[in-house]
Formats: sequence, C-alpha cells, structure tokens
Amino acid sequence: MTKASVLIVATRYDAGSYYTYEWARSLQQDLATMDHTCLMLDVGDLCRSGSSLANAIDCVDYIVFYGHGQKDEWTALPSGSSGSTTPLVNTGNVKILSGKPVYAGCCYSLDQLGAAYASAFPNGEYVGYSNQFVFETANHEFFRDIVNGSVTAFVKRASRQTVVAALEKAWAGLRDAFGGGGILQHRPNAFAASKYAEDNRLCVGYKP
Amino acid sequence: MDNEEEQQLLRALEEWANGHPQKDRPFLILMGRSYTPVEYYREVKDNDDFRSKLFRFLSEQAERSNERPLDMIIRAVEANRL
Repeated sequence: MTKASVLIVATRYDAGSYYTYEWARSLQQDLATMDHTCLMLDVGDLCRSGSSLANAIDCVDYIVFYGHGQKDEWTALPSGSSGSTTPLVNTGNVKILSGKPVYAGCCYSLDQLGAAYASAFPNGEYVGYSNQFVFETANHEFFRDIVNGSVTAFVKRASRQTVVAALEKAWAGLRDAFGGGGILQHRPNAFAASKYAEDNRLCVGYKP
Repeated sequence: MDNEEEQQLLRALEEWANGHPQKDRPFLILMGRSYTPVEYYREVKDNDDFRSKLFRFLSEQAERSNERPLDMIIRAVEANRL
C-alpha cells in the first residue's frame, strides 16, 4: 500500500461541527493505524495560535476539511455581530491549497470554491457537496462511516471520479437500508436518515 | 399522493414528534441549522416546499420498497416506544 500524508482540518463550535469533529478524530485514527501520516488541526487553535495553514499544507499530500461551508468558503469561525463568517479558505485565497487533492466534508462548497480550485489547479482533484450536507444524530455513525470510508479510498489513490461514484452508491445503499425492508428500517428516525442519505447522494460531486 | 394521504402523513409525523423520547433535542443536522423532532414536524406542516420534498421522497422510497409512504413514519412512531 502506498503511504500518504494527510492534513485533516476541522472546526467545532456548534452541534453539527461537534459531531463532524469527532468524525475527523475517528478518521485520523483510522488513517494513522493504516500507517498513513495524519496531521489534524483544530481551526479554533489555528486561529488563536496565528499558525499558518499554508505551512501545514506544504507538508502533506491530501487536504481534508470537516466543518461548515458556504458556496465560496470553508468557514473557520461562525458569524459574529457583523453578520459575516470568517473564512478559512475562500475563492480569494484558494491558491493556498497548492493543487493538493482536496476532500471537503462540508455544505455547498463544490460549485464555487470547487470551481475556483479547478480554475487555479486544472490537474487538481476536489471532492465535495454542492448543497447542504445533512445527517441524523441517532444514526450519525452510519453517515460518518460513509464519509470517512470515502476519504480513506481517496487517500489510497482512488480517483475523484471513483470516489464520487462509490459515494453515490454508498448513500443510495444507506437510503435503502433505512427504508422499507432494509436492515436499518426499525432504527429511530429511520425515515429521516433515509431521506437525507438520498439528499447527500444527490449533491456529492467533484471538480474539475 | 392525494390530500387524504398527506393528512395521514402529517398526523403520523405529529405523533412521531410528540412521542419522541428526545423531542426537544436536535436530531437532524443540516450543517448550518438543526431541527428537533417538534421543529421538524412544524417545518413540514408550515413550509410547503419542505413538505413537498419530504412527501415526494417518501412516495419514491415507498415505491422502491413496495410499501405505503405512511409505513416509514409508522415504523418511526413505533421506534420511539422501544
């Protein structure tokens, strides 16, 4: 197996990002025990320390972000009194990603930030979501396993096309597992888990 | 889906939300906002677009599973009691 070095960048400042931060920790453990080198940065710590994201990116083969996103940014900090969020990466500083393969585990970023990345790095690879990424808390481990499993495949050198095709299949499988006759049909809130697994299937994609 | 079926689904969703063991805690995370079961029911009831997307999905999934859309909600009501 080819070893890779991976930077996982994650936020945790509300209910959603607390879950995905734990997914990121689990991913780090999975990758490290597969003998990949895996650095995890908490965005809050990064902001407080004044450390440079670019320095960390220089050291790695892959970049993974888990947290909140908008169409044109990965969000570092939530909106304050000014009403605007603080971006970690946006269309204005996308070159910081240095053309490294990117997995964006957040809402919305594929169409604008992903397009800006593709424009800056025509040979790059960006996997992300073009709409809201959604999960259901009573069954969040099933959502986590799909996302983390796809990152692992990406890091094992699967192409962005292969990763997204596998993700679409996995989300459809989860949708049906929570549906009638599925092995998870009697889990709490199964109808909602099924519905939002399908929504995730419909908005996952890649650039360029 | 006719109006009677929609009303049945709404009544079942109300039963699911009000009978949920954690009805006032977020259960659905949209990475930007969250819904408790009670908030979710209200959104379905009051927001036409939200409701139509859910009901369309339930219809499509029921077709894939060869069951009624209502059956998915009934199972969720039953899961609340376990």
